[in-house]
Amino acid sequence: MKTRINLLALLCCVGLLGLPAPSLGRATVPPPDVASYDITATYDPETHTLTGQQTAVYHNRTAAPIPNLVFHLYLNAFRNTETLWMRESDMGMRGYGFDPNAPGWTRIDQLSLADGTVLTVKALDDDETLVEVTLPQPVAPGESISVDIAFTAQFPKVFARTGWADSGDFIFGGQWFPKFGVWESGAWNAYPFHANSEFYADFGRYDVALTLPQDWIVAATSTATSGVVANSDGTATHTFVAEHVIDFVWSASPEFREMTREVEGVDVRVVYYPRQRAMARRALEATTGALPLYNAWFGTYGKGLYPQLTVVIVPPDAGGAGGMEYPTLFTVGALGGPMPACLRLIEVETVHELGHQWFQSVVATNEAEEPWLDEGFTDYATVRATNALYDGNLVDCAGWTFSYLAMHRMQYVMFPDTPMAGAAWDFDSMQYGIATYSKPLLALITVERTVGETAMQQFLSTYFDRYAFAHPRAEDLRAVMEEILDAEVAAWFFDQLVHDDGVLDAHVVAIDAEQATLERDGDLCIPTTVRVTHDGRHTPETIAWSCDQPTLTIDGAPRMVEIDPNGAIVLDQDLANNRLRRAPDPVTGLGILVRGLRFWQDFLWGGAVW
Amino acid sequence: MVEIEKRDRRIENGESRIETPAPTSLGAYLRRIVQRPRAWALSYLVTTLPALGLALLTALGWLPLTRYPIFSQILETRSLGALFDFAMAEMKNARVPWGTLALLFALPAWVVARLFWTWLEGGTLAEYAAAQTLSWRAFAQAGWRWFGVLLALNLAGAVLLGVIGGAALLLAAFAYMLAPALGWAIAGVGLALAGLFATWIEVARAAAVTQNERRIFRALGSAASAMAKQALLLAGLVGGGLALYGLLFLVHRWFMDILPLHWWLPTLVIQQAYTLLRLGIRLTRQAGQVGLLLNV
Repeated sequence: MKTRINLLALLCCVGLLGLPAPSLGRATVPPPDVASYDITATYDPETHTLTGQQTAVYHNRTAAPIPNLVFHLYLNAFRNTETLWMRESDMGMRGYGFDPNAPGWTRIDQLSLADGTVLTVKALDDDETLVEVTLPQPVAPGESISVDIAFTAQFPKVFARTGWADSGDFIFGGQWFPKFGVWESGAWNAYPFHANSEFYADFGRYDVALTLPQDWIVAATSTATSGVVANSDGTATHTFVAEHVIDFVWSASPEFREMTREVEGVDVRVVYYPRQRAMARRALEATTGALPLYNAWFGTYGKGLYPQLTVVIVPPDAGGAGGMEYPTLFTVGALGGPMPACLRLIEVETVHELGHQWFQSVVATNEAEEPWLDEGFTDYATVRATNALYDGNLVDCAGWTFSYLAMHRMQYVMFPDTPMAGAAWDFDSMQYGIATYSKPLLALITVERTVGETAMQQFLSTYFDRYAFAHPRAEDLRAVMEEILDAEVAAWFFDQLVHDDGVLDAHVVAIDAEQATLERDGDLCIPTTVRVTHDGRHTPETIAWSCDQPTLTIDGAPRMVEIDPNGAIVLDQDLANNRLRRAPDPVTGLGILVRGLRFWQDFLWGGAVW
Repeated sequence: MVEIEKRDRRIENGESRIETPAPTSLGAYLRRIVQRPRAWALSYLVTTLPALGLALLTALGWLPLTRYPIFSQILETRSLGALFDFAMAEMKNARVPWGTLALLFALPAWVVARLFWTWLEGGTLAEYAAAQTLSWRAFAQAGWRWFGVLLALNLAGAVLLGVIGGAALLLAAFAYMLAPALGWAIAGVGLALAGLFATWIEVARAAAVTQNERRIFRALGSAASAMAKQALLLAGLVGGGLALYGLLFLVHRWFMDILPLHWWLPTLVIQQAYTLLRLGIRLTRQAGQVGLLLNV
């Protein structure tokens, strides 16, 4: 028995060694490293140039051998005005423009294998934002390859997430090193850098040593306590370790101050310029308010593997670096002078970028091919957080409110016929915002209000738990939705909203003393209910309106009809026509008269009233 | 004071009147707003009646829209999101609410109201300055007599405030770019200066009537002199009025924030009480200025 068990154990182990690596389609916590980097770099604030030496290791966790290595050199998109990125973006992003006198680029000076064999780097696109090296031997399944890369990076004056500002006293180092593509399904998933596109990378470990002038304060992606050593030449070397992350960014300035707070076991650090202290305070409050909510709704921050979180408040002339997410670090955009507390742009931006720590940094979907997956979920999280923290309002001034949800509704109804599915470069800039942010957010809110908070909670936490440290695609999300919610919800969500451009306008056509007539316009159909108040009856009646009824007729002296009375379908093109009374409301009329009287009195008196 | 009494007698067609000693306390002048309520009543009625007309036009025009509950929702919740939804629907349906007709009448009504208010102020100031309550005829004649002077002072004041206010705003904006604190400081000084000039113009109007001075610059000079001599009392009068106005505003705002639209009767009572009290503050200030100018 014992011998047989031992033999079985031996066979299992041998078998395991020969088996392909487990798929990354499902979560493994902590995740196995795929793309790891050991980088030593020196940054010169005078020339805005960084010289680096990196050892990059790629672990083949798939069943297919890898014949070559592909790297992103993102900064090359900013080397002149003729690149694909520049042509697509009209040389700007979010209102910030490229300075042709301060371009950016990355150059691989040498790339060699661990044994010293120098490999030839070949560009895959005209702008060299994507390069490859052919390997002498493919990397077999389960094996790893290590390459040494000497590189130089020139940072642009910041306008699109990365670069320097404040006359060189501020640097945000994003997409600054040669970065592996993602090997999956037997090929590299990597594209030339498009203007609308964000990023896609594997999980791994980063060991980074950055040398800068001694008085510079550095913030960076990190999962362990960083170190700093002063050098004799007036510089200091800062060392960082970040495990189980998909990217590494850093920011530095001699002007930085910091404020810290611990929340639910996470050390939150906000770095900011002194004149932005008020803004930093608001961002800190928003972060520490929303983090426990996201923990409760989706799952623990970093699945417990990230003990730190850094927020960088970018200075006023570095606004192009603001509002962006990275593992364990995100940036909040500079907004110039003080902002009144009733305008919650800082708070909403903060809770949005924080939300990406769940949807992008841990559930690491492909932002290039399926940008709606991370942005849609993050914006959904943003709405929930703003509801909990700020009554949902982006603006709450002088009694007038404007919710974050309403803002996205506004965008959506302007251009509703946009499917959510599509690569980032398939959309123009307006469509991209709607397809990636507004429509997914509204669709998820509609799902939540249709299925209820409890079911939605289970769906979200299952999705996060199952795909943490993985790269799920839309079909994976659909499978979870069908499993946890139901197939009918998944059908209209995916078939009609994700992959199609159907729109919906359910409305009351007419209502008289005998009956009311309701219609649905548009290709999109979401089952709903109708609440009818009849003459002579105290209790309203609720009627189901299914998708096989394009028109609904209600008899029995209806006094008021309300389609979707709970406001679940926020995608409806026209909410004003969802509810109608048979006759004008005299009480409201009197209210208007009285309020109008006061308005016209003040108008006619003008300054004379004082 | 003597001239006022003489004018009063002329207006009364020389009828002999029992001479009443001129009051020596400010309080006596302040009490005149209650003892001689015509100004208060007139100023309330003659702008409320046209305002009621405009409000009726608005309400009747918008009445069909009350069939849409979202319309009430906008008014109740002041949600810009609901407003957007409604506006988009309105634009799509190309339906122009009849209530917007009120806008066509609004500007001419405003101009007429301004002119009437100028006439009313002449009669009001004369009434507060007079030893006795004026007859309706005397009140009206005082209004016409001082109409041109007060209108000129109002126009001059509007231009002056426009210039001062505009200059202060520009300076403050420029300074703000250098240092936010400096910008705010300049804005504060600008606001204070604007208040000072507005008070000066107001006192000048009172000076014109109380001192029978039809020359505008003389009236301005008298006002400046009175302001300097009675600075503390005037500051108390204006400051007290401002404080009371602020308190009323907050109380009114609090009520308006909590009262739903369909509670129209309590809203009417509170709003009109607020309006009457604001008018009372203004009239108190005018009566007080008259008293100060008559060397209380």
